Amino acid sequence: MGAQSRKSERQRWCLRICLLSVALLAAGAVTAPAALADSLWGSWGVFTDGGVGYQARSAVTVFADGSGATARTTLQTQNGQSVPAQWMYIRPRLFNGSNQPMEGYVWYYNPSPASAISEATSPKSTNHGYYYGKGLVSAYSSYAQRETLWSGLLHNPL
Amino acid sequence: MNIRTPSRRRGLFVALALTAVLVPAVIAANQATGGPLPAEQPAGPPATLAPLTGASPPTEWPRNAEGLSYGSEADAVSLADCPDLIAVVATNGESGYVRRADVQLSPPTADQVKDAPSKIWSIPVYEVDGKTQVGVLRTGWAPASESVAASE
Repeated sequence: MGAQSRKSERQRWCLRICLLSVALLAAGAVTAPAALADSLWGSWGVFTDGGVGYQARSAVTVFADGSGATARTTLQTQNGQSVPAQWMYIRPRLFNGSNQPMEGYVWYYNPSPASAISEATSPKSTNHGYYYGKGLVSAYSSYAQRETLWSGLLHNPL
Repeated sequence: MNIRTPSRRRGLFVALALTAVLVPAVIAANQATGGPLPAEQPAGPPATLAPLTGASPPTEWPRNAEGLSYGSEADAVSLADCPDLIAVVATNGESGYVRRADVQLSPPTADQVKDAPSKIWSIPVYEVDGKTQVGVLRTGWAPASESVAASE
């Protein structure tokens, strides 16, 4: 009986250790996102192009792992209607507190019919200071470019 | 022979207790510093985004010794108003300027996308003289990584 009891206790400990490992792995997965802080999204700005209503806004994120900051711009139709492929264009831009563009000379478009697109700039190494996002958006109907409103101003304390 | 001493059990219990305390603490700390984006800024009616057509008077840009205008794109009132040398930060972190003609300032045309769905290249970043290269910058076009299909 002693041997049986020891065996069963060993099994219980194995189970506990397994559960502990799973918990640690789950905790690691939960803590993986590295965002140190996200700005408020800038307010929606609206416009009409080719009879379609659109809204656009920008935001900025600073990463806790020191990889820098990104700015994200989103463009979507106002009533959720779909537009054809290569119809919506966005150019997310990251600025520093001196109004100097840090990143953002790549245009992104919807590769298939869509009602919204969103894209962020490549992470840009940043020093401590203030950063904001202010993207450019455009629709195929006119190719007219419009600037989103400013995102919230975000302070990078690193 | 398997002998479980009280000290070994105590060690395991301590490890378990520490885990029980530390894991939630780490998760809570992460949620405090990261987490989802805050809610949208409270505001009145949404602002209308006017096309950058250059209706405002053009910007008075400073000029370098070669007569090339330079400044930040953020100060330009339209695409046409952008200076000859646009202030940027190169991929190596150096501040400098790109030539307006080198940058993909406008969205790609349908033909450009048809020829190359994704095309990103590097352009030189210069000092304000427009000649001395200090780094490079990426420009071009690509499909958006997040594209939402309509629910209809």
